[in-house]
Amino acid sequence: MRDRATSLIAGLVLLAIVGSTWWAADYARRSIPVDPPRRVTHEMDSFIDHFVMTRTDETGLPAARLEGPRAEHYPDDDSYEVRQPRAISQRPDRSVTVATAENGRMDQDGARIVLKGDVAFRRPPANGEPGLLIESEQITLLPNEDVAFTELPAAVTRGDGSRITGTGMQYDNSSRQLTVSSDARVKIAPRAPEAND
Amino acid sequence: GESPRLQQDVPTLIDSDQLDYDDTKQTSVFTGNVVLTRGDLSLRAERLELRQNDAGEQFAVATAGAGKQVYVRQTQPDSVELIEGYADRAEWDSRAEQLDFIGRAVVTRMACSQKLDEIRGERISYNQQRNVYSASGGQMSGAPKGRVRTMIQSRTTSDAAVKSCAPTGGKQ
Repeated sequence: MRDRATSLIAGLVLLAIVGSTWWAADYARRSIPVDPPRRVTHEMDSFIDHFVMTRTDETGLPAARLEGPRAEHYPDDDSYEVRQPRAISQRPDRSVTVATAENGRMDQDGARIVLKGDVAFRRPPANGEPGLLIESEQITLLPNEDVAFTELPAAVTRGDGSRITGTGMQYDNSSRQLTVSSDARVKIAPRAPEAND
Repeated sequence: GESPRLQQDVPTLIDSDQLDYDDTKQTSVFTGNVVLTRGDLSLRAERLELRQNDAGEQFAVATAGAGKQVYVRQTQPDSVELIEGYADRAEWDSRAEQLDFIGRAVVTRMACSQKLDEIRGERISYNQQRNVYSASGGQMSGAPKGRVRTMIQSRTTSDAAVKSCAPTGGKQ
């Protein structure tokens, strides 16, 4: 009979030890102040002055740059608001493009830059080819795909003076294709007279 | 008379619903209600492909949607005559100033909205500068039995038509 009592007592003591250690661990975790959750309001949490952000392509070469006098970071959607941004695409095998605007917003981890206000997207003339300038009130850049597009009216001026206007445009710098999605108007300038003789 | 204004120094204006422009090959494809105007020439089509070479000369191919035809209208700079052309397909070469109407082609020369002469054929080539056109037959010809049918007014009636609405007092 005694054996049954001692094993019962041993079981009870073991149970008490397990219970108390579980309680102690829980009490300890509850008492330490855990970090407060991230602020999710759209308020700036950090800013950079006179910055240059460079993105590299898969091979590590710098493919795109974003510069500006000031960028403000917002934690809720991890976006940057940039004043007077300059977005440059500089891939080795392709022509450079430079986009400037009054302000811009970069989000989706840099995959998208929306430029607003007097936007000028320029491909400077290079190796004998006339340049290209696209102007609109808003242009969205996708640096990874090296594409620029807008749904608003836009005007394209080519180095040789011809002009394309329309509403809704997309320019792909890798294939140098430009599509105009509605009411396209092209004005091909006459050859400059001196060019003829 | 003096040769018409050199067509080269005239801007080309093209309106359309959509445009696909390839900057490397300098080719443009216009689709949807395409209207090309260049000086006295105007062309309407459903689709226009335009290629421009470095010298700035343009080569265009215009096609119309099913059941419709390309329409071209060319007025003469210093006279009341005008040329109207319909065809399934039109090709335009700004260097040679040549307009080719291909497929059920009908080209009509009018003066003060009176028909002077008319040509039907499968393919009609019209040279803008010399104001001359030539036609060839074929099964896609606008005229019956695939032949070329030409109807030319006598010189007197066409002169009378031209005088009837030409500005009086000769050329200003």
